Amino acid sequence: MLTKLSRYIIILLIIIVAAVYLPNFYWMIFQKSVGSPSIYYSPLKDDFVYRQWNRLTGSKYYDSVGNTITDREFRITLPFFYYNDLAKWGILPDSVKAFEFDKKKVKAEMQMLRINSKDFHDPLIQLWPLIESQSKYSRLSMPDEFFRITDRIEFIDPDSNKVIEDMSEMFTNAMKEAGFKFPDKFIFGNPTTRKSFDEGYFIVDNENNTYHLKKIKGKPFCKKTSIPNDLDIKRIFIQENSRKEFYGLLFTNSNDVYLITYENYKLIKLPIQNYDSDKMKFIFIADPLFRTINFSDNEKSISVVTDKNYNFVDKFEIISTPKENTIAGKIERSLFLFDINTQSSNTQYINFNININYLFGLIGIALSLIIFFIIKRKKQFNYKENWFDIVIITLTGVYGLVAVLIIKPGYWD
Amino acid sequence: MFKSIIYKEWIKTRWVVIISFLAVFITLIYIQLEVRHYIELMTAFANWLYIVQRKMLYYEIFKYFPLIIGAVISILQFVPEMSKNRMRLSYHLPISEKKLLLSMTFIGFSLLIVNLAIIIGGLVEISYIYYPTEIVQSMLFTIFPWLLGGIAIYFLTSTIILEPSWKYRIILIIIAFAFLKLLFMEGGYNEYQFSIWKYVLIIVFFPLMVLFPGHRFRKGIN
Amino acid sequence: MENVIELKNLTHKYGNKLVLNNLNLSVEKGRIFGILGKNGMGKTTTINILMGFLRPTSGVCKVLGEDSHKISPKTRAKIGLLHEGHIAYDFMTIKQVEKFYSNFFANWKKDYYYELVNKLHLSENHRISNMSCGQRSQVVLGLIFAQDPELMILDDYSMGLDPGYRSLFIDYLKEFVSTSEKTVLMTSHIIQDMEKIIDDAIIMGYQKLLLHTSLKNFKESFHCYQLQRSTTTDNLEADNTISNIETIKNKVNLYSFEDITQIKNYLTLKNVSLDKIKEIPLGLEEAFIGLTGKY
Repeated sequence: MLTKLSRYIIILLIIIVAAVYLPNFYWMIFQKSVGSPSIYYSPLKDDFVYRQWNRLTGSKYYDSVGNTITDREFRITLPFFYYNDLAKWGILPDSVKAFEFDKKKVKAEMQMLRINSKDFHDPLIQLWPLIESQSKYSRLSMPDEFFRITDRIEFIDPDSNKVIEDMSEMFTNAMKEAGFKFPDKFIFGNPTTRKSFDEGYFIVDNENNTYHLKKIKGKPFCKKTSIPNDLDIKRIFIQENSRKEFYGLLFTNSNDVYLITYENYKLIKLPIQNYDSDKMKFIFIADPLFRTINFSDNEKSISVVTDKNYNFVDKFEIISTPKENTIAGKIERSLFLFDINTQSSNTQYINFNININYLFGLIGIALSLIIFFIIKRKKQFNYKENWFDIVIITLTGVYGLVAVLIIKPGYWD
Repeated sequence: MFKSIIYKEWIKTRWVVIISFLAVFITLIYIQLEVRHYIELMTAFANWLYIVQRKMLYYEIFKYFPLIIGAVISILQFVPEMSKNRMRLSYHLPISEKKLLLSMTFIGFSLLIVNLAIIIGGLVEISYIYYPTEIVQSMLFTIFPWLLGGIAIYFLTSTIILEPSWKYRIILIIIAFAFLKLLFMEGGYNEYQFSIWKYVLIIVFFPLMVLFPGHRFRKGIN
Repeated sequence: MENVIELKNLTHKYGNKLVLNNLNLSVEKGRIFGILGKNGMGKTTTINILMGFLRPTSGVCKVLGEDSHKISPKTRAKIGLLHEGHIAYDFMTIKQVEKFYSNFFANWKKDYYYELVNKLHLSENHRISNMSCGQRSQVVLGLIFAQDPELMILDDYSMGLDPGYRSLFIDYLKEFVSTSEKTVLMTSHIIQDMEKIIDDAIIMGYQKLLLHTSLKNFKESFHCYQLQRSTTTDNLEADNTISNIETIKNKVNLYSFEDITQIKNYLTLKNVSLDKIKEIPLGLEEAFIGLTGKY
């Protein structure tokens, strides 16, 4: 009856709250905090070096076989990153392999992109500024309107909060002429003025073709790119860089990563495997000689190095035990049949995900039932009226046990 | 009989309801003035950019309103009933105890909903003047967990007050606090968009929570 | 005549503490019943069970034919309750509280309420929280009268009332019940007041009933005998014959249900001198204290 249900609702609420907070408390006590290693490729050693941080000892540096090296040695092996330090120490090399060392040149040829797994799902409001890409000024400036794409492209004037009809029509026609099929599926761009030039937006239309949209002297530029329409694009990250090698990185749902080059949008596939965009952080580094692609999660860190033409050169992998597989982790999985996560590695949205520890959790269930029967042997427990309490313990383990013991049944007759 | 209960609950809560209407109206006017001021100060474009990219929530002042209104209505309804065991009077009325509790909470809940509706309506009105649909929508998605928090706190507070024993009350207070925190974790806008229905599913059952403490009171379980 | 209240083997424990031990009791329709007893003897427990706010550990408590802790709403309409402290909806005014209750009862007698309440000479918008305990007690009583219930349970009607209001309360109550077949169950500490109105009394002792009889019977059958104190009297103990012994200076009071002849025989057997033995007349309060003891 309703009152019994009322008690179970309170019990369920306790279980839910416990499942959200208790595992976090557990890890707060038992988790050793160790960062994932940062791996770099040294053009002097033709080998990898890495840096590992933990809470107790701070940063430590290692070579590829695991020998400790000093911070200074570490920096010396990476002249493209630390040329300022090397200059200060007076040991800047004249050249590194074929590259004649010049600070300005190094700076001009360095580019880095960092992409976290959360960046793939962000709740950004779909209103975009189309920056004038051939500004008459030295700096980029924001336009006066935003656009949205529905069954056409609409420019909205914030001052009047109304659609600018002629501009919208002009751009819509330009896009249609380029072949664009409304509505869009995705809009990808870099809507900031903190860059030296602007490449507008890459927009995926309704038939999965990718178009490049820019504003040039107020007029629409829309071109269909050669990016294939069967790639299953997850996301494109644009980064305008004066190196003008590529517009940005393209990620697919099958975890392939491509560069969109300036050669008519030709794609170059990065030679990596086992990259999981849902869990791993991704870093792309271009220096004067090599390309370094690092991706890591709490289980492994992988670094792949290629030459300037993206031919594979070398690879390095460090494996560590994720917290779930440590002893503390195994105890946690036995103790807590499931936990509820509100944060997740692959999204900036807030979740409510139930994560069940299938095998280990059975131990927790068994333990909870045993404890329950032992406690209730002395005091009479009305099994007939409150049989559902047992069901709850079986389904939720320790959480249910505690909840059911705290919130005692009423007098149901 | 239900009319009488409405009468009684209204006598207890009418002042807070009127005050909260006023507070909501005044805050709505304040928001309108503030938005207009920002637009004049930084241009409408910059204002929209701030909202889209810097995640400025121009309606953030309302964040805790639903919580406060929900808690206060519940306190005003049930504290006078529970002090000095006065709840005995209500439980002795010739109406089933379940109907009694559910009626009382239904009335408080309705008063709360009216307030929340005014907040929503007012914000939508103001937003449509200055902002496009996308921003108005994101405003609704973002305030929704706060409104839900107000509804949740109303039933949780009622359950806590109606509970006769202090031991259970303290446990419920901790649980309530921990649960409500889950609805206020956003760092920007729209963040609950995909998971909010799960929270709704949990809160939908809250109205029934008051029946168990009522039962415990009635049977003298302590 | 049906029994309005029936207790059968009513037992209640708080944890391991036994408070009521197989209590058996019936109250017939139309009787006015007083429940007396020292604090801690189970009066409050019994009243709470009767009022339906405590489920007994075992045994049966039937009120108007239904188990007291799950009385149906329809039957509750026939029961008027006065809760300890004359609790009422303090946040309501005289007018509001009557209006509130009137919708719950088919036979609501508005006039009964105002007859009582108007004697307070307060405005009808006077809030109950602004009233003295005595004034509030009038309001509460008025509400009960207006409900016109078959059974009234009054828990400690005297608490917080000064003698004036206490007297008023009893007078109104007496007048009210005299005109119809109402059953009343009341508790109080002020026994002289109760004397004016109750027909039957039960006196509760530790885990048992000390007495269950009509008032008339009690006063007629309970005696107090006074003796000269001596060493033999100091050896006397309460037993089946003697309910209680009081020693004050050089006098000894013996309380008993036995008549003087039986007592004389009993004392002779105990070698107690019958010198200066005499019976002392008892009021109800003195009799009550005599039966239950002062502590």
